Amino acid sequence: MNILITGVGGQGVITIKKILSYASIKEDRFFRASELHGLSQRGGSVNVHFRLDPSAHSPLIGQGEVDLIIGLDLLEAARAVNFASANSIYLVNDCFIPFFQLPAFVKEDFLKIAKRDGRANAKNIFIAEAAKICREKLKNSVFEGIFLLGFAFSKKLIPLEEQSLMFGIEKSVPVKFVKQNKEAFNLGKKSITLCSRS
Amino acid sequence: MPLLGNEAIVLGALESGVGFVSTYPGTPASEIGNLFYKIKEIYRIYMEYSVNEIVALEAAAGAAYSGVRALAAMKHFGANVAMDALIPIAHTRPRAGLVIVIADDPGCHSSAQSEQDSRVFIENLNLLTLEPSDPSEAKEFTKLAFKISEKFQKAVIIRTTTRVVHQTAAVKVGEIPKSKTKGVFLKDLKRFNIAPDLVLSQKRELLALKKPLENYLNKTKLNPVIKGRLKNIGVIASGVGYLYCLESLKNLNISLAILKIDSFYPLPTEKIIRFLENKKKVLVIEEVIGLIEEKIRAEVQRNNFKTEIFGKNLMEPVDELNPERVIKALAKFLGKKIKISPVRNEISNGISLVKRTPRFCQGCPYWSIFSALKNAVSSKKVIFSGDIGCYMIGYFPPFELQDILLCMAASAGVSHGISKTTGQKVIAMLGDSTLFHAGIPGLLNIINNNSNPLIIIFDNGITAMTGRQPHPGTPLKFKEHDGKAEIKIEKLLQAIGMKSIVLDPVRQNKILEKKIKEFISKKEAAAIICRRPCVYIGELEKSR
Repeated sequence: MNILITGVGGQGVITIKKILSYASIKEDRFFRASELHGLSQRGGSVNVHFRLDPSAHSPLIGQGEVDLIIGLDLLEAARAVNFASANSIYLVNDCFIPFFQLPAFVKEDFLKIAKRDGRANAKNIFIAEAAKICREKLKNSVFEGIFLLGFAFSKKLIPLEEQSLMFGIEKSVPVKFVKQNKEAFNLGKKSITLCSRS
Repeated sequence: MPLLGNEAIVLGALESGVGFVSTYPGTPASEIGNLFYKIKEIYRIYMEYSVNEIVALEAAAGAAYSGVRALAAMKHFGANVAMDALIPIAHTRPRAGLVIVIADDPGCHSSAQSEQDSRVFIENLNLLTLEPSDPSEAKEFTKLAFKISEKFQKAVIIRTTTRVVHQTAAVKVGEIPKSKTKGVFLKDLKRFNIAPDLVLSQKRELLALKKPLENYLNKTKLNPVIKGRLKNIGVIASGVGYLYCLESLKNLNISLAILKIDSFYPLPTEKIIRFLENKKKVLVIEEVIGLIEEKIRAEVQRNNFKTEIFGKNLMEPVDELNPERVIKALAKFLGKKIKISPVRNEISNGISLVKRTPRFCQGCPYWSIFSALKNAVSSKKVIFSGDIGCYMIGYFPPFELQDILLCMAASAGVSHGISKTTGQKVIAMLGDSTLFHAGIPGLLNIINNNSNPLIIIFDNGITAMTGRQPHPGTPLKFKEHDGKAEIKIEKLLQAIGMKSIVLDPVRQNKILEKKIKEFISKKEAAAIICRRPCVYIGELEKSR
């Protein structure tokens, strides 16, 4: 199982990596992950390659070998297409972190990139209004990644137990935010109807 | 527990009883200092952010000379700064373990300066150099490094790369002994002195350790040979290249013999010779330059083997390795055809996947400094000599106010040279941490040799770019756990005879603009200290 998590600095990409890592350890399963965040604290791209696979050697996923893309930003998710195959599943936050050299990058732009050359199968693309829902229900979009994680779990896209992921959350976020993160996870879990399949 | 390679190095050092840690922040080594900073009081060890890497290394050496196990960590360019001390230290014999971590950044993910391969100068040290591939090895090799350092009474190098130290895996936590943080310096005239009458015999002693070190390593699990089904073809791989090699062989469904190189110095020569002996051809996989490859070629020649060596002819020595580059090289090496999906163009269907270039955080005071600079002077006429720090973002649009960038604190030295040789106006843009790190000599030189660049000090009170680590000028309230000083840059400049004023670039933006216009026409060098704290000052905890 190869998961590629992409986003922009500050969106919580690394937190998702931590949660998945602790959850894997809880289940005594072998994983390898790699993260890249050069200057991400200053608005750069962040990505994590997470490989839950007893035969994984390379910390990086090979091109065309990703099973699940969790994109916290539409543009960053579009960048991940090089790692995707026709079977890859996209789970993308309907959110674009603005960048001055690019006026806007919307859902339709992402879909054009993902579907070109017939690479992505439309039924494998899920676009969720995670940022919007988290802003409305939890007063902060910062939980968007955990929301997507909950959504992925409910769609059986992540082969880890719920209690392991909860353990991961407890281990990975500051104590005072554990409750809200668990709420975000549950919101994601229940929000299937709110997420459009494209 | 899940640990990054860098965090695993910290764990390895703790399990080895490290008592003294010094570093200057620099990615991809930053997490080592950050984690030590967070846990130093729990484990009762001494840890400091030193002013720069050479000071960090000298301090670690002083601790190890006094019998306290010490670790100094730095990025590759930091090791350049430390080099002046590093070579003589290699000649001395510490009384406790001394481990030096040097982190390279193939692919330049967090390093603008160059894609330096530090092994080139590491070779010159003749010190045991271990290269882990993953977090578990990062921990184990650090422990072994301390052990061997004490056994052989020599400093040991751990050389890492980005993909090793920013890799996460489950690492077993062992017992952490109580650290010894206090020692005694026992005099021994010939042990810690480098002197003309000593240095050549010290060098002979150092070189003579090569064979005993190799013999010692032969008794450990390091430099393993993995057997393969194909008898006369093999791979020699180091670092993360070894992992890409295993992955590629799995995908190609081929079983080859592999010699994994864990010690760059000394190389396991006996094992290499035995490995080459019956091989028709061997592929060497290593990051950046083909240094191991050249050594292998030399062994082939020395032993009159017929083995054909492949390496950088199949993987150009630019940019980091990745699974695709390695599988392509292996396929070519084996004469196999493989299908790899082509990398798509970043621009397609009329939509451009523009790279997110770094930019200032919301509320960053540096925005205001650049806007004042743009308004005050003609960016076509004035030369902007830049430096390393968040303000190098001034190179990118919409500012494009950086004509030169070299290395830490070069803005002062370069602006002096331009000022001396042209009639053009020069502005040196220098950060606070960068000034403390290496800028003081450059400023002294400007005063002593009389040139007139305008020095703009970007003073946000913290080493911001690497994750907001404290430095000598950081306000005391933001460094409860580190450092006892709060050096004011204006006082430092006053002491060397450089006129300066301090302005808040946000609240006094118009005055700043006016002063830039006024100061740039001065006949002597002068400085404007733009002081306003980083919006995230005091938040090291949040950094990764």
